[in-house]
Amino acid sequence: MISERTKAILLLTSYLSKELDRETKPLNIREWNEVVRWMQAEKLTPEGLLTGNLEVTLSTWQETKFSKQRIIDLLDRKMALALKLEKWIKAGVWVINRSDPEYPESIKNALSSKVPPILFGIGDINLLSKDYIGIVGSRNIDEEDVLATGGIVNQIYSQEFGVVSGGAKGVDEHSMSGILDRGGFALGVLADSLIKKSTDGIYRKSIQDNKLVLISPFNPEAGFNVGNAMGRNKLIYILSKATIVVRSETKGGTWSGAEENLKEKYVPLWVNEPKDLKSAKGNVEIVKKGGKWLPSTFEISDLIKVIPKDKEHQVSLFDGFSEPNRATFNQVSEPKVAYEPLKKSMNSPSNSDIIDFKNASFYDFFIYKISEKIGNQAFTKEQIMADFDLSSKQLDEWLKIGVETKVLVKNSKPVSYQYKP
Amino acid sequence: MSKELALSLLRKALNNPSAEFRDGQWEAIEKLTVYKQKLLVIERTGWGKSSVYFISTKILRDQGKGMSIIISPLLALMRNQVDAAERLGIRAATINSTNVQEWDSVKTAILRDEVDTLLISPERLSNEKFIEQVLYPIAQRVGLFVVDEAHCISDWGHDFRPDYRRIVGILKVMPDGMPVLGTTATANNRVVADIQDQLGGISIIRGTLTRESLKLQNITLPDQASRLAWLKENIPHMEGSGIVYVLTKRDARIVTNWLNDCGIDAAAYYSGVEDENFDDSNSYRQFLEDSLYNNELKVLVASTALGMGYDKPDLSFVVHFQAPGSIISYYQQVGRAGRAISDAYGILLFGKEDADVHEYFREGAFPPEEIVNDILKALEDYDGLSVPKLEEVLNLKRGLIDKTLKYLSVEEPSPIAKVDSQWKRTAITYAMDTDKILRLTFQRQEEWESVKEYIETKDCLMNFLQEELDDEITGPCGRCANCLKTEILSSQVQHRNILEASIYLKHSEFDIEPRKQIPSGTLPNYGWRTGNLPPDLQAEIGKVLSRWGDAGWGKIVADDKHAGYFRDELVDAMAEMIIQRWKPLPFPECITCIPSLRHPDLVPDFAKRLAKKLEIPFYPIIVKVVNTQAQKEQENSFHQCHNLDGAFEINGTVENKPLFLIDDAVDSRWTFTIASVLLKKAGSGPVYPVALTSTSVSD
Repeated sequence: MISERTKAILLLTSYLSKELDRETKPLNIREWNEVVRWMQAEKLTPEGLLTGNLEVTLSTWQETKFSKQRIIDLLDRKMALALKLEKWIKAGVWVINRSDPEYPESIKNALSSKVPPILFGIGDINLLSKDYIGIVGSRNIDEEDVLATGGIVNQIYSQEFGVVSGGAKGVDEHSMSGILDRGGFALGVLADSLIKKSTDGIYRKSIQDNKLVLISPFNPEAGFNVGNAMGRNKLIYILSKATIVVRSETKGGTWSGAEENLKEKYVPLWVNEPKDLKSAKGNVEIVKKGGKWLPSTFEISDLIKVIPKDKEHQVSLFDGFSEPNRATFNQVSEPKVAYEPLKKSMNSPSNSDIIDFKNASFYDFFIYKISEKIGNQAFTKEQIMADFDLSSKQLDEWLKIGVETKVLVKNSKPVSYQYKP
Repeated sequence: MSKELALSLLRKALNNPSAEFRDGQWEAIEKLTVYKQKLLVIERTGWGKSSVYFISTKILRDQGKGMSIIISPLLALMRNQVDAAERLGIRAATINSTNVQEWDSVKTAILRDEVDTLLISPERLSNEKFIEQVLYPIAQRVGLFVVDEAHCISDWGHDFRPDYRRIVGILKVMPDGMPVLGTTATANNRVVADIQDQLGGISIIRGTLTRESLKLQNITLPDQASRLAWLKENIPHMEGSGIVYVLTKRDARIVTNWLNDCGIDAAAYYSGVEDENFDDSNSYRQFLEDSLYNNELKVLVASTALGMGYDKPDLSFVVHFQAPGSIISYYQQVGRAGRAISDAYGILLFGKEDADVHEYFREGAFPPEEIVNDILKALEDYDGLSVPKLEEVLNLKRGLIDKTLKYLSVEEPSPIAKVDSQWKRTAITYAMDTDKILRLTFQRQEEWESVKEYIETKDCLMNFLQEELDDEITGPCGRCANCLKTEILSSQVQHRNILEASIYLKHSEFDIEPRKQIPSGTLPNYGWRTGNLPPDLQAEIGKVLSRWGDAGWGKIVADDKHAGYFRDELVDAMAEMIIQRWKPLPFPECITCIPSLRHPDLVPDFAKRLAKKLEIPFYPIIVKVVNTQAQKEQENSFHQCHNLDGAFEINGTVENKPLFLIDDAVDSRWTFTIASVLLKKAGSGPVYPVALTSTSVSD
């Protein structure tokens, strides 16, 4: 089942066909974020744009950004989208948008305003929430690299992690099929041909056995394209707890992906150390830039804890389309609002009238909204999940903190909560 | 959009300044154009469904929306629809298999926004290439999606079709806010509920179905000959034009020729029917539809290919040569009669063998599970295969491969996907839904049982139909044979006519079309060039006397083949066919035959006697040099052709003269094809293949 919200976002942001999309270009992430801000201000939802009189709805759209007509034309692609979706779904494709609970939190946290609006996937969606070590490397590898990859995969497998990689030839393919052959699990982040790759003998069976999930932020039928491949690389890092470079040149996809990770500090980066360092210039350079040589035997717990993040977590655009207080949302929609992850903000506002929008965290808003909307009445998680349009996982965390910090009281049988500052 | 404005459009469309909306019409238009909803309309033929979609199209276009797409089995808009569309200024275009050469210009016109409504036949939607290359590029802006004959969406429907599975899939994922209109004249509550269930959130508009001018009667006659005789005696007495429905293409040809022999102006109509005066089947079909519409034909002898969407207000009779498979399909067909005239006949002829035909249909409705598994296994093992490669890898009938792939490709999710020219196994865990197949097969059986009940009932026939369709019943019709308690048309036929029909049935010979292509990789021993066969190596059009096991000579041929000797009666019949009816020119000057190592004398002996009867020499110049596997075990062209690689040689003098090439049975025609090439290469004149019987089941 693909939600109407996902369909609306697909209409606005997805490339469906080369010929046609040239005339009416789908929105890029930046443009889409503009629309999101506008929708939040207008208390609109993406799915709400599908029905009703668009001309009227769009009367508050500021043409300076891009034309109203472009939005209308994109949304008029309903028939074209239905033809594509029918084909994709038959091939086993699922589609989620960034407000869906299955959408990986790690991507939202790491990419701030550049979170891909849509993810396509084939295979068990629950595999997205497992723990992975990334393995990346060149398409052209020699026997030594194959052995090294095998050794790495063995250790990952025995420590019950999965492998996330890019599904390309060479290191990608060896690392993924390696762990799958051992009975482990893997996540493939593809830059092209999602459907076609899922039918390949090496992947098909593992997908059927719920051991492999392939995902892509691009149209499942998209062909290879360098830009997409580059855009995909960061997702491998982000979806891993740590990533290992098996073999890199000093240019190309593996190289620039590693560089980007070192710069953005997504995850710890480890580099395979070949015997002959002279012929492994890329590997050496990456270590010079901040990667670490991978010990021949390793504990994953050591691999993943190395980097202390000096960079603050940034929050992605908040994809909730509930009925927000306009003032609140004008604030939180600013992409650079600091996301103080919960602990600092435990001294929640006891007086709901006093809230410092500039410095408040999302959790603060959450408590504020409960005090505003529900007051001291008991409420259930399901109730506010619908009202606030938050994911179940997010609510669990905040409710837990609320109870722990004694801002909320938890009643049992049946479970409900109450705001008691 | 106000109702008044819509009403003015209706009046314009119908060219009638005082026309009013029928019940439900405005409601439907409002749901589509104002609320942009999904809607299912169940109304009898002639209620004015086309008015709904034309007026809606007009309104939506005025709102700045894209064209409407109408999925309909009709090859073109009916004449009255074209007129209505033109009066509204709606520019209509058609894309189907007949007008491939126009697709580009239609596409261009659509992209320039010069088309308001586009008619597409449902079977196009099961063609991957069509969707990708034709439909998809023009689907950017579509304002309204219409699915005609929407009962086909439901597999509870009497004629569920795989093509419509595709449409269901598309409708299921259609984003909100896209107006969708499904229309049908025949759907009972179960079908409606199923459609609602599958599509979700679809609203329903439903009217009554009764046809007040229909006079229904059922007649049981023992065999084909008596039914043919009945047609001969009764059709001339019915005024106006009508339809005789048959179950197979072959029956369509047999009945048509018989009626023509009896001086009744009839033509056969089925999918793929061709005529030398027409470029392709569809243009001929359209011509036939028009001829019937204009009463230029007395009878159209049609398979179920005719019916859906066909709307002729003054159709005065519908006769079923065989009983249909379900009451709903019967109503759909008989309900075409008597729309705008006061008297019309709905006569159902019934014979014992009808049950066998329906059993055969039921059994062939779904691909067998082991075939499904074989194909999926092959696709897995080879990591994808094209259809010709599948034929090579699996010795399965091409038709069966196609049918199975089609069935699998519309499963949701599907275990196969087409990537370029190859079918690939998808990453879907798949098991055939055998419970569902059992349920559907059982349901079809039940439907057939209720047809038998209809034939036997003593109650009002119209009420029986209405009950099956969940239509409101207001009392007996007072017009059917049961209400009148007397026959409307006599069930008695004259013995003389039955005799004549039996003789005719024995003369149901037909052509053997020469093969014109050799699949690559099949004949390494002969070392011939594969691909297109040059015309000078092809056989002429041949003749086959009967169909295996058939009422005419077919049964006798089958019996004699088992006994190991073809009786003289068959020699006489064959000679009579050749001399009196076929008369090939240039007339062959000698006879040869296909040799067999299994039955070395059976065919040569027959050929020798036939040669004597025709007073031309018999030369057994073809010899079999390799003991091949039985040709009937070869299931597709690749294997049928490959099995004969190097099997025959020419041993003797071949003269440059026309000759007959005799065999007892013809099926795939590969034996005739290979032998003809050998004869031609050896210097023979034209080669005319002749066979006693055809075991082909292709039609």
